[in-house]
Amino acid sequence: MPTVSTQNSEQTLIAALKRGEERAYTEVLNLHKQQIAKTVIGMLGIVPEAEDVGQEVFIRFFKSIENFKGEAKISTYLTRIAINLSLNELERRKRKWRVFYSGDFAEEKIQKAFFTPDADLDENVDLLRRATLKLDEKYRQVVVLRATQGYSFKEIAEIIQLPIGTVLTRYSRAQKKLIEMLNK
Amino acid sequence: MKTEEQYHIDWLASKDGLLTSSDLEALMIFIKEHATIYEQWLEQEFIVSGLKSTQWGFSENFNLKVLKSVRENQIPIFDKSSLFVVSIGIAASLVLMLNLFVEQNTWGFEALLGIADMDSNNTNLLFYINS
Repeated sequence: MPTVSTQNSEQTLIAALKRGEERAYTEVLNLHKQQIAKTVIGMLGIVPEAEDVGQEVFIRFFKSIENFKGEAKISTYLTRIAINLSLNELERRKRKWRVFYSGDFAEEKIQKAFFTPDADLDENVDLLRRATLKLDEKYRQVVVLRATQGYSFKEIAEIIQLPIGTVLTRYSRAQKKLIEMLNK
Repeated sequence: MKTEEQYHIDWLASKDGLLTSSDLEALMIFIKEHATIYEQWLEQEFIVSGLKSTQWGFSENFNLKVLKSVRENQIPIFDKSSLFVVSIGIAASLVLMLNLFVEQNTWGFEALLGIADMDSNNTNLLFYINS
């Protein structure tokens, strides 16, 4: 729940965005780009398209600012766009690979092609990250939002627009699947 | 009777304070009776929480790329002043066309070109332009 002061500062920022002040655009970018990077890279892996999707998240937000009523926090709204655009990108990626490969073989190829190791990460965390990329998208998004971003289950339900019970079930199952993959 | 998965879900919910007191009480009893399962939950939570340490970011010129794209989108093709000029131009063309039609007393395409009243004995366009 946003506090009164954060609500006020967000409203001031939104008003400045609606007036087209470039300072406000830069502020939103500086405040939220790290969080959006974690969401998009968590969903897509370390791939060049992640940066394009990240840019598109902010461009869409700025374009639709006139319709933004401030019912949700800016971070929630941006993360929702990031998740939706990442899911679109994953679908586009699948369609592209299915031209050449079919069925499970296609899935395997996609996963291998996008498993770029992250040299900056601890080996165990990198294994975990790569296992996350093997999860079905519906599980992956809750893991990214909860474990990577630290959102509460209530916030996740708001972002992905699903009942809180579904979010909890998906997170519980995703945890089990991840552990199974790591133990293999 | 709840399954182990349901208790695990309850345990996750309890972390965010989403559980009713009766469900919380039932969870506590389950945990007390199934210490090994509880240890597994703690271990898997600890392992998965490792993802928090990821520090991904975008390239250094990320802001510039976004701002450039936003600026390009903000430049309207037709702003109010250019729309005014275009409207005046269209209105003037219509008046000129009307003038041509009225002067030549016909609505045909030839009237639009100004050659509807061309004399069949003299088809040289320059003759008409000069006259």
